[in-house]
Amino acid sequence: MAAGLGQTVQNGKARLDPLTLALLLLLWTGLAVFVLYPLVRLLAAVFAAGGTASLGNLAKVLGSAYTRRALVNSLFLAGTVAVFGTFLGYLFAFSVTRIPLPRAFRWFLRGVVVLPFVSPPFTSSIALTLALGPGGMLLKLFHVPDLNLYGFPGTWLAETLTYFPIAFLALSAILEAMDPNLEEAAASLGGSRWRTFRTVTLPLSVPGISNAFLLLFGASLTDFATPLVMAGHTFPVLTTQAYLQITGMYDLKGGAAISFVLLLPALLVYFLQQFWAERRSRVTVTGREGPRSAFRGAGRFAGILVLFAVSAVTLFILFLYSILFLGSFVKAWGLDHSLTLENYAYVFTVGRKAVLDTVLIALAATVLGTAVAALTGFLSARREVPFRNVLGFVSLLNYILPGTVVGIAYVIAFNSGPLVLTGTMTILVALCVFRYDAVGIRSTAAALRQIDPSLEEASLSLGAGRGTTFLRITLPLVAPAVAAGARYLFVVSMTAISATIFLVSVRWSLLTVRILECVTELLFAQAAAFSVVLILIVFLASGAILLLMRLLVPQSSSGPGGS
Amino acid sequence: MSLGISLRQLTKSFAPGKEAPRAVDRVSLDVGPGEMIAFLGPSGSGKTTILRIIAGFERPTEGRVVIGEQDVTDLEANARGIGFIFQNYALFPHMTVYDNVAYGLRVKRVPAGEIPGKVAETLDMVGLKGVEKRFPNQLSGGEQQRVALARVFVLNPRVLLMDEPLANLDASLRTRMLAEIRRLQRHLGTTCIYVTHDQKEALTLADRVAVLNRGRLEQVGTPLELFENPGNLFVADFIGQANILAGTAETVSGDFADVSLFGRRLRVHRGKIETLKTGDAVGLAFRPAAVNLGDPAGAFLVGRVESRLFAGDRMEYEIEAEGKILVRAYGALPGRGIVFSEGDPVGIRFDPGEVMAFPL
Repeated sequence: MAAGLGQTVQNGKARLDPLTLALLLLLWTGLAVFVLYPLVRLLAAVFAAGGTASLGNLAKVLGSAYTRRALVNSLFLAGTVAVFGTFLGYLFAFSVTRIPLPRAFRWFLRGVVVLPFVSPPFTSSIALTLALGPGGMLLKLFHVPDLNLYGFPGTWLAETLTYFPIAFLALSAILEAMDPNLEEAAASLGGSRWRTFRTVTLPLSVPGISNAFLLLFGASLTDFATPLVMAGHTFPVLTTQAYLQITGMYDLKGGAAISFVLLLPALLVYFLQQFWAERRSRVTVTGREGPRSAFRGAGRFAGILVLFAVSAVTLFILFLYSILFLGSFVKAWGLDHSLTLENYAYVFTVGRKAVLDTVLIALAATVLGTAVAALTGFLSARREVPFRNVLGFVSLLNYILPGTVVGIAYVIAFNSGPLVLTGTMTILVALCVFRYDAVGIRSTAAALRQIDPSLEEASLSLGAGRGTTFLRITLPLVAPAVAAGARYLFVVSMTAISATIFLVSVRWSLLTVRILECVTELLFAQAAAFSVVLILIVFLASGAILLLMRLLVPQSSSGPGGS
Repeated sequence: MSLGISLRQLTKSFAPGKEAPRAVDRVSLDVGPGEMIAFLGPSGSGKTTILRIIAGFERPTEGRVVIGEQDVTDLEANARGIGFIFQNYALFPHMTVYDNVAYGLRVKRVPAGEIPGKVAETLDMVGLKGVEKRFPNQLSGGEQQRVALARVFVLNPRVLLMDEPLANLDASLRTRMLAEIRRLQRHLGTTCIYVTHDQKEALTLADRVAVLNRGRLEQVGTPLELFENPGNLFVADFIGQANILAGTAETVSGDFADVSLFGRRLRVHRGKIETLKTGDAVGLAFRPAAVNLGDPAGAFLVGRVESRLFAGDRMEYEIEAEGKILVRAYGALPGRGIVFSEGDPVGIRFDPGEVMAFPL
């Protein structure tokens, strides 16, 4: 609000106290080193050849038929994953919001759907391989010799299963926010259920559908783990090509150029999505909470059809997870199914260092990242902070960029030059901090915006100073949002791979990278055991963070809100 | 002990340096110790801004705020000893009712042993018992309102400021809380400024009413004064209903003027117009109750009944006359006098003594 700014200027005193100023400088230094600097070095690597500006690197990369195919493949894969993922997400969202189901079943559906969120990136790939890959369980069951899973079909199936929950969350929010009276009005005007759905429900969900489509498109476009395991040589995509260019051919500039080709569509999708998300919030979601009647839902036949589809998919997901779990307890999947704990012994002996390293890095990233996220959230919410919009944008930049791009930028920036950090724990932690703090920044800023200014004014007029007001009113109300950011930080720091894979070394290894190694060496049982351990750690830690939150801030569950 | 409040040439501009309209424009006003004054005006009239300036949430662009003998203009909000009741109550959602009420005491470092007694006493005073352990979102709107009052009263504020405190309550509860607030304010003798856009609230509650419009103070007075003797056309229209007709001054003699209205001549008291000349535009205001409806023959104006409304103790009519204007008038109930139907021709008469003249 310009009024507040003008007021400050007019009163002639800078409201930035020394502490705020110092924190602001510290934050900008961090952003300069770990966000802007790597990006500049990446662009320099792409656009400089022999000391002059040039499009040579880009031209060389685009001249290669293999890269062009990877670009087309990436876009085709992202498009098909987005279409089917959105469709699946809509079916699930419709079931949960429009079909009268027992409460427990609804919760069950929601629970199954969010499983992929907390799972390491290879989970569905490994499970699908165990089920449908060469010698897979389902193939044997139905006596199918081979399905040719690797390539487009396997990648598509694994990504759709991994990412459709994103569409589900976006769409169920939209379907829930819709005023049931609109559908009732259509029905009372004589529309059949199908007609009501076609002319009212569906058109009103269009902004949500576009949003979900773009989110899925972006997720698939930048996905690295799934194609690395599932795509194989027949179906190259940009993320894996950039990786192979660097690790296989030691061509850093070529890898950077390929990642730049990936960057453009990814950014386009991101900005389109932001645009849609903004429109959606203007069109459908009003803050008014009137008395609401229940949704009418679908007709019997349509309802059964939708439920059948949803149950089938749900069962398949559960089946995949149980395969993963069972697979971790057998000697050799498909060959020798005798039960054993050897795989877990392997995890805690050979893989011990990776487990400890990952947990240590994730913990450090969570602590530091939460502090950075809270600080950024607070500073970008304060009117008197100069360039606060720029601050907000720059701090989200690493999150917006594809992981492959950020990883390559870090390699380029910290392999040589004034700051050499490759092979250290610092670089892995810094990457997680400045990439995955985004959710914490957003939730903190949103929570701050939700706190009615009258709460702080009330505290002031009751005699409390600004410090007391901050500690006793503002902080407790924002704490749940900060904790949500911390949980996210820990989960993704544990499961990240697309950017971190460029930065691991002999000294510091990660669980996800070990899983990948197991998969490439066809040690599926060990890979499954690693995955199960990883999932367990993630669950325990996120439960612990929640518990800690409850203990520190009683009633944190009630959340902020003025009236 | 309650203190008076003095506002001196208070001005607030949200876009200083520009020729933007001021949110508050040179408002001066004295509120006596223990007095209950209502700030009444339409939205955007600056009434809430003045209240927020007094509380210390906003700084005035110019002017001073004095409480008792102390100039508090440059004091922080937490050093002013003012109780503020917000429209949305602003109860702390993460604290119980008890903690909400105890908040100010704890901040003031009142000895821990005294706090439970004071909280209980205050909750009792506002009529709340047994809800200490609940959270605000578990209370009804009326209960939340009482907690907001208790949270302020427990500190014995020298001055109480209320910003549309009843706006979020339903009609019957509003009437009850209105009486309750009046009782508490009288009982404690706290100086109180009450902001509202509802004239009924202002007139029933306040010792005096300050009418605000576009940042300016239009008139201050007791409810009766404002009703009987409005200072200008805005107040005449805003307090109670008024029919307003535009005419032209023809001849001016002594305290009276002849005004031409739709080609007819009306002799009225000059009223608020000190310098009335021939040819000046004059606004004539008269209450619906001053209008007599009857036989069209020989009436001052002849119109047609546009709408008729049963209002419990009387009939309310809207009369269309001269092709466009609407005059509001009251009439007798069926069986107790003449009742007109919609579309009936009707004669409009009024006593010139009841007509108030203002400059237009």
